[in-house]
Amino acid sequence: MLRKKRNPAKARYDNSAYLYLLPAFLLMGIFTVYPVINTFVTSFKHDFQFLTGNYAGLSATHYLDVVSDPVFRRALLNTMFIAFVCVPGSMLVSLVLALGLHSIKRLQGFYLTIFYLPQVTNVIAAGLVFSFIFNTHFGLMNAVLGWFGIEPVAWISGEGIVGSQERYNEAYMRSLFVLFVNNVWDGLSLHVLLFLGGLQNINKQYYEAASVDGVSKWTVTRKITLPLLSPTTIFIFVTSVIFAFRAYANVVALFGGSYGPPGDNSKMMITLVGYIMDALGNYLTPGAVSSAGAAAVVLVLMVMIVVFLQLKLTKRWVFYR
Amino acid sequence: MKVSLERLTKTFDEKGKSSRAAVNRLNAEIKSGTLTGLLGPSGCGKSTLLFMIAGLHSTTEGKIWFGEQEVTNLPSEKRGVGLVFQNYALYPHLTARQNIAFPLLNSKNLKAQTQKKLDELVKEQGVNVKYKSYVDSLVAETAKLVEISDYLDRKPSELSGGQQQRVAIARALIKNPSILLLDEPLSNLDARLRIQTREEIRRIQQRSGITTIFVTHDQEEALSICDEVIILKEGTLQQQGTPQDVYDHPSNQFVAQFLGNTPINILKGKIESGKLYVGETEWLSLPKPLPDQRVNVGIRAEHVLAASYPRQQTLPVKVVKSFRTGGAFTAEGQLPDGQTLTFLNDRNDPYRENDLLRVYVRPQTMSIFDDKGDRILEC
Repeated sequence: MLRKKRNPAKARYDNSAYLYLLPAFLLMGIFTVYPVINTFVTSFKHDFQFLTGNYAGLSATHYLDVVSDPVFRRALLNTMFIAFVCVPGSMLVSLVLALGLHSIKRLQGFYLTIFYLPQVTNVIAAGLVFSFIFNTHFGLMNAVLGWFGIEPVAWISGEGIVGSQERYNEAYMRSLFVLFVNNVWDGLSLHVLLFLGGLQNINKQYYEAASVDGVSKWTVTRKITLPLLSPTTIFIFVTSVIFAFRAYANVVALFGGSYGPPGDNSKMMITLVGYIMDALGNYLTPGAVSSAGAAAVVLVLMVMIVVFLQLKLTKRWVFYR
Repeated sequence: MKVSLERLTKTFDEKGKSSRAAVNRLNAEIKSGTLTGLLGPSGCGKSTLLFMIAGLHSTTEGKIWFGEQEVTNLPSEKRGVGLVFQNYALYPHLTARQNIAFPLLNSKNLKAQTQKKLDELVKEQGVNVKYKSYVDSLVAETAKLVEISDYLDRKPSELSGGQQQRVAIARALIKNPSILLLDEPLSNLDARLRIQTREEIRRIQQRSGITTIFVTHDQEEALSICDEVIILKEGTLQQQGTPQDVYDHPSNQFVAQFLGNTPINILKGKIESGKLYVGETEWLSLPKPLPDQRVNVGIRAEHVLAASYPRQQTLPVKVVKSFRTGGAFTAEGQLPDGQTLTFLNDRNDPYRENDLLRVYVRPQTMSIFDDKGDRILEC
């Protein structure tokens, strides 16, 4: 009866659909799938010569080298700092700003434009501006501190760090602070916008219901707004953390191509992507490209673990309608 | 508690336009312990009025009294009202139990009040009860009243519309409000559930004895469960009274036309030397003399009677159509001057197209309005 009838729509899909999808598949295959596989394979090639393609054999040496490399560990630490300190910090500031913006009606668009400006600014340019702001001698930060009688601080110039572990650690802390401020500022634009969108999506009647009951603003924010905003919050967190694992350009703009103050050979502020870039830069050295590949695979694995954990936690914490 | 509204006015400022009064100089008194319906078509200002009583909308002019206390400028939370929103506004991330307990756990005012009550109770009975477990017992009690005890640990999304609605009512009732306000409580429910739930609201209201005001655009809903209805049109009060009273004795043509499942017949006619004419046809002599003028005559379908034997003061009608809606049989007929008259059809021996019959109407059951629509006489 009806079952025997052929579905004409289905019949037409079968053959031609792939033809239409082919260009997309091709592009994805060439620029995404193949490089991913190739990176994975290369990372296991021992003494791989980039120019000739020769290699001595397959082994996991590069993974062991990378993991035991102090620069890689430093890169890992800095990247973790960006992902799990800077991102929450930026989100917290953005949330407060968004809550403030949400409660005003006048000039909301104006403020939103100001907060959105970082988004249209070049990361390198902004990073350079920040490195000027934190310049020891003519930076804005020290000028402002000077008004309060505070001596100039060597934010990123790292004077006297050579030979002194204590000075080095202090300089590292200051650099982390500058990196934090830069990341918070950079994240504001999109986060405020997204949070504001999330806030505007919450039905006003929840607030009216709470107001009839005489529930205070603070309690409403804590017990109604934040839980209802959780899908937005988790979305921002997941995407920002993934983005943070790719941090590179702003670090170079802030701290220079050596990832640290002059005289520092430890690549103080290097990130995972920076580590991969440096290894690729030495592509003529046998095995360097494989090291880069190994580091890239480790990076991908870490992102995957983090995303997996986040999605697990999301189910427990986040409320979806 | 009694609610009195005195020349209550609310205007909304619209950009570029002159302000429009959503509620216009409204006087009304809602008796303590009754269920009162605010009834009117969409945009008549009934929800605005409800939110003004709740304190969510400010008052432009006029006064609101709860009992002997004026509350016009009192903020919402100090008025002690329970409000149920049209879409319930249940917090979706909390269970039914947490929703109901929310006001008592999170409002400073209510917390203090409830604590005081608990202290008295403790003094009286000499048992020590913690605040939280007292709230739990209140939740259980309220849930029992609205019959949702079995669903307390579900989230709103796991509840049916009717259950959500009862949770919302419970959340309003647990505050022990002096007045319960319901905004279109049944509009989100399907037809069957609507009838069931309106009886439920009636039962809850009678059991709790709380003064309840609810907004509806559905006249059947209002007429079936209310002690009194207030009918609004464009922000002005048209009539206030018991359902039977407003149905039988509408104060103007708007009320007459708004009420009733089968729309009331409005026939154009005139009064000349004590006699009522429909069109130019003389129909009947009025029991009370009225000045000569053009009139509109309101006649309900159920009051049109077929004359089974020749008698005076009848009108000839030619049947044009007959209708059946479920169990209701109606027919539409044409009067000599072309006006249509709807009347009940005989279930067993229905009139058919082109049937001719004579009908009469008892003068006591008709409403005669002047040609502007204000009532002038009821015979």
